[in-house]
Amino acid sequence: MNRLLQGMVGFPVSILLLFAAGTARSDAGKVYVGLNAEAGHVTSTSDDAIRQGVQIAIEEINRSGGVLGGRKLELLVRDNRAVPARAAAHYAELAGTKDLVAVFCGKFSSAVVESLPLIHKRELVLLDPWAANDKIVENGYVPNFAFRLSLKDGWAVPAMMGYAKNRGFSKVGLLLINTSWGRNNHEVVKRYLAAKPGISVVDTQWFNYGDNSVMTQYRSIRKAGANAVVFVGVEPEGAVLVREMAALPPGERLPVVSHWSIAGGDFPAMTGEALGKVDLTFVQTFDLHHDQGKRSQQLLAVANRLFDMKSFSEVKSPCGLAHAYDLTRILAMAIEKAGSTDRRKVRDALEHLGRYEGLIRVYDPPFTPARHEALSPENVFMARYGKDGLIGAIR
Amino acid sequence: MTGRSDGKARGGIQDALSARFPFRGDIYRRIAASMTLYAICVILLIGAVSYVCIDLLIRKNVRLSMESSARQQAVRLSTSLDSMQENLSHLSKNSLLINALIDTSGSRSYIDSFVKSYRPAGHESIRLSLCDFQGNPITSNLQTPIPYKTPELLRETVEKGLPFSTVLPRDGSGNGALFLLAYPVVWNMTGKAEGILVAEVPVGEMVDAQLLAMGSNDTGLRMMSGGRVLFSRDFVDGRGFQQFEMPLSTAAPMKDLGLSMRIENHRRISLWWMIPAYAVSAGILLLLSTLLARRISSSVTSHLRALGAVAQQIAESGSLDSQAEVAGPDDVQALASSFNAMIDRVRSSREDLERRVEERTAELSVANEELLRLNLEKEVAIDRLQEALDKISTLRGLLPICAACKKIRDDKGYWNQIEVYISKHTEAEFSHGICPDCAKELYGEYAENLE
Repeated sequence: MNRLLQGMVGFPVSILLLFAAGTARSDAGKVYVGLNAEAGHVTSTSDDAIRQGVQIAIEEINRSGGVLGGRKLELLVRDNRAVPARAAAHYAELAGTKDLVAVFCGKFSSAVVESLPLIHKRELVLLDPWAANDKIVENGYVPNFAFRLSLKDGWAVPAMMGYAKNRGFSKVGLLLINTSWGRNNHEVVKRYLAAKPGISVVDTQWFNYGDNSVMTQYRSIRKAGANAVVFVGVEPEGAVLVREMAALPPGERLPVVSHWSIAGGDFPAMTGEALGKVDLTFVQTFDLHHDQGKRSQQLLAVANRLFDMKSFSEVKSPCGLAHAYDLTRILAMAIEKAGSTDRRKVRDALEHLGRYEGLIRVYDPPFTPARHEALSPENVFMARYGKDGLIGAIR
Repeated sequence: MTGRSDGKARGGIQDALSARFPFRGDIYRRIAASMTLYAICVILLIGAVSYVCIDLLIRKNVRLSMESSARQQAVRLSTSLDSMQENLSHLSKNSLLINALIDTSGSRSYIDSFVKSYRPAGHESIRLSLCDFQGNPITSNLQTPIPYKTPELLRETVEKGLPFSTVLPRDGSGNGALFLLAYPVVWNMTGKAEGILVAEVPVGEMVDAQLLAMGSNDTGLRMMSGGRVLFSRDFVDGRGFQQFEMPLSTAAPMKDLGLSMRIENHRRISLWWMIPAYAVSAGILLLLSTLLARRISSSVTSHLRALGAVAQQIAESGSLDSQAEVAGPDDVQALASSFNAMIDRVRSSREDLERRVEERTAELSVANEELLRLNLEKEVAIDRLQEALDKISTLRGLLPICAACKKIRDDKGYWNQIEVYISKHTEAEFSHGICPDCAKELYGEYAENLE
């Protein structure tokens, strides 16, 4: 009788205790990854692509058992609207989050550079899937908590200038955003030209975020005798340039060789028919729109499940998705290697990972103590928008 | 006897009037004096009324002038404030500021010089700061940038995206109150305020610039926000100074400050200059009035005097042949006409009286002669009668006689024996005897014997 009673009472209690313990371990066991990007920026699609890339990777990782013996990864998204002050506040807040191992940044380099001191003070692992300012990784901090799987200006400029040179544009005009990012590109251009003459910059013009016209700068460049415009900016001002150029007679439209951030938005939608009237090429690192590899299809299946995505052509900033996906997978490897959510250990692990066959390339290894750039100049190529609005590599 | 008493009475009335009426003498002087007195009264009255009216008029005009000036200053100041607000609002939309918000770390090379070079006319001491959404300074033209973390400021500008204004008290440098204006710096890529453009403008500098532009030297000025004094310049708030309060019609956000400007007029309007001017004018006017009074009086009284002279002549000569000249003012002419009519009537009456006297005299003369004749006849008759009387002595009339003793009382009151009295007054003489009755009474039976 007593045994019966013990069994009748003890079994449900044991079940409840196990369930409660399991629930508690599940809540406490989450490993967090932050995304501090420009979600509130009305034209930016890069943050969406980054978020989707991270979420696809997290879905795969969690479905395959998570990290650290079954702990789920979870993404915490913060909207910095591309404003450095907001980004800094979010970095500070995320740095105080228990079991947060790393934070992805967005497209805007300025929102990252401003927070580098804070990031290193709080030992926050920064994963950069887009921002191209060289100074983000080449920041001088030891240990360096910034890791990038993306394009950097030091590779974008040679790609643009080399392409211009190949097309016979001996004289170019620089049209740069008036930010630390634009100035960094300017310095890189000057270094490039010093090392590789054969092309000259006949005029350098600057514009600001929010400028409604860049025609004054464009006319100055054209008047200086440039054969082409090298543009460094993001999609709103890039769209202004394209629309204004398209309004000019065809003979007055110079070819535009652009940095890649114009692809950080739905550029075809922002420019409309004007896009077809301007010879616009830009830097890219991965042609997701036309990649038919097995890995891409696996990702698309997950994306379809998560976002009802039928094709990657729906992704307006495909590089962001690809970079973020690979970087998340690399982070998961580092967490496993660190065996902990301790960010210092995760940072160290990132520098000592083994080979990883990613979506974009084979990383062997992704990072080293001396190299926090996962990609290389070989990954950089020029692309243009096709008539279907998709990004296609220029072969 | 009667004329003398009337003259005395008339003299007494004149004396009484003269005692009450200070201007003695003839009517000419009285009229002149009265007119002069009247002129003095009129001049004093006009002077007093003029002083009061001019004082009121000047005060009213000064008030209107000051009011107009104050209104102009209020409009200028409001316009200046609105212009400043417009400039700051426009500046907050400048793409360089927005750029600096997004490029915080890289903006030092351009935003500092841009902000420090911003010196709008009239607001040279403006303190301009560009802050992030938390109020932390990104750049400023202050030596030591300060944060602006007031919850109300951040709520209005960053959360609501509205401009904000308030008044800061005196700062440590003693520069007086400051207008604090904060404008959201909205990035069109987010449609939200990502930063704040904060400006501190010394109230005194702005108002001084306006006063300088208006050239107002003798006015005091006070700038108020609600009931709070923000700035005072030469404002003594003393009694006796006109004050004008003008609300400043400014656009938002300064509209919420309830700004008003109080102007104090230090210009005192003195009318002492009027007194000598008025004294001279009054003197001239009095002199002219006196001359005019004399002339009018003379004009009026000359005819009266002529009339008086005719009356005097008539009085002295008794002749009613003279006539008064009918001239002068209507009243005097009427008087002269009446006088002449009166003379004619008197003359006519006198002639009629004389004629009637003559007739009466003649009748009396005839009657007198008849009377004399009759009197003479009477005297003759009297004489004849006298002669007759002298011969007849009779008693006539009522004689008082004692009922007892039969004595008669004469005219002197003495009682006389009847026989004495009658003998005295008549020619009768008495012989004494005794009547039978008396004898019987006296002698009884003896009397019978005597018989």
